[in-house]
Amino acid sequence: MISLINVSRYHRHADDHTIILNDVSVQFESKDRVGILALGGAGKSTLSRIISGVERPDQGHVLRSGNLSFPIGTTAGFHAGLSGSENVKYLSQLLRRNVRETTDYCESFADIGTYFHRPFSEYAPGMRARLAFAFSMSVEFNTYISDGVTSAGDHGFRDKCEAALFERLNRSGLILLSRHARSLNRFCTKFYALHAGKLLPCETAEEAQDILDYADGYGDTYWNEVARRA
Amino acid sequence: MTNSARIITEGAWNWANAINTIMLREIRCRFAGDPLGYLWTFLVPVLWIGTLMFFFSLLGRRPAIPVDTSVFIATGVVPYVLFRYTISSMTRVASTHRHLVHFANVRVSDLLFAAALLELINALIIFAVIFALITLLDQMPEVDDPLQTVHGILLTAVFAASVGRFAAIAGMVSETAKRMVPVILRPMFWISGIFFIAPELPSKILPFLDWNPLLHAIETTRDGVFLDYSSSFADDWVPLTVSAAFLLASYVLQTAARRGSDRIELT
Repeated sequence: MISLINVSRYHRHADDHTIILNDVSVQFESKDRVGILALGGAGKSTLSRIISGVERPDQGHVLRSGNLSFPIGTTAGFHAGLSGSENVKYLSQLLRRNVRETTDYCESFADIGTYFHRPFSEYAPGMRARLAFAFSMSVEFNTYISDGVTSAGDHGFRDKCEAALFERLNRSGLILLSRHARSLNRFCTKFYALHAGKLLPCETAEEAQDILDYADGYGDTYWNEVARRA
Repeated sequence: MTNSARIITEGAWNWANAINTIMLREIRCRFAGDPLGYLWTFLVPVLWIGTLMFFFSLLGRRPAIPVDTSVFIATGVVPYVLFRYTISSMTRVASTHRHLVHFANVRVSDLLFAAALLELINALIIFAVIFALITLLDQMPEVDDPLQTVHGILLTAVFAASVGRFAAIAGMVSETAKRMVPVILRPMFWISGIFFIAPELPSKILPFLDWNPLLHAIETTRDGVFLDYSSSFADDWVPLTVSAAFLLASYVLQTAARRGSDRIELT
């Protein structure tokens, strides 16, 4: 279970403050599949970091029970000078997982051939994303957290990623922060809109989208008007 | 075993595993791509000692105490290398391994502790390797008091770790501070007794260098290594007091800043 209790977070700039979270209290069960819709720059990454404990709120508390994943598909823990297999080895050691099983899973899932044993710095961006996603799926957590990533790579590989994620979600929960209502509809059953520092509960992803569209999410420009009509 | 004892044991085991993994990762990462790899850690001090020996012979200089020049220089270079390597390593891991905080509750303090511990182990290996090399060259150095020698190395490690912790936290908060650290530390090479002993210093200068914890630590190390040298200058309280001050300052800075410039918590 993850509980945010009166959580506030501000980004301080030289001349002003940006409110990311304003006195938010919410509780997610471990097996909940929660979708949080937010516009670009609204604070999805900050909220994801606060939930996972990498960043602390300016006010309030975050309580966690059960194990929570690192952000799905993150390449942050991968060192450019190490090979893919070495990166997987050290990260799985850190997470106290079976190194052999994790390495085999990642090599098979990422399907990047001999690159798996070459330095990470030599990988194309798509290969990095494949391996990072494979590693995320290789470790079982009570709750997964995603900063918008639900798949990686090309079309065929994306299907494989989504299948793996759906398989994991039979036993685990998910907190998905995204700017796309379609992603939320696909993976989540509970919905929120992150707007003006508040997490607003919604019945559907479309309702969350409407809140963002018509509150003050988009400016009154010609193309936004075209988008609304469409 | 009670429930709380099991939780504490499990937590300690997980922490030890995390520290071990961070150290192994650092060993593999530091010289990634270089054919000699981690050997550089041990080669550099040997090259330093060789270079200083060359200058000693060029200038016709001998140590002020009746001991072998190479051993004399080694007893100065190894603690100094431990000091510098610890600080640069702690500053570096705070940057290169910082993303590990996303995994398994690794904290910034764990990264810094692992770096300091690794450098201490390296220094002890370097010390053993250098003494083995000199022994192989048939000069048979004899360590007078091994415990006192290790005591000197540990004093250096404690001082280096506390300065390193402060430098790493300051470097995470401010890019300027990170750039200033090597500049500020540069004079330590000249004022820490690598190529002289404290009694050689003019009495006018000695009071100014009395505050230098590294000079005290190197004097303690030499006191332990050489039978014919007993340092009246070495005082444990100087390195310990200055270390406590740096450690305290690092925690004050950490609490005040709360998070680094990349928004990673300074936990």
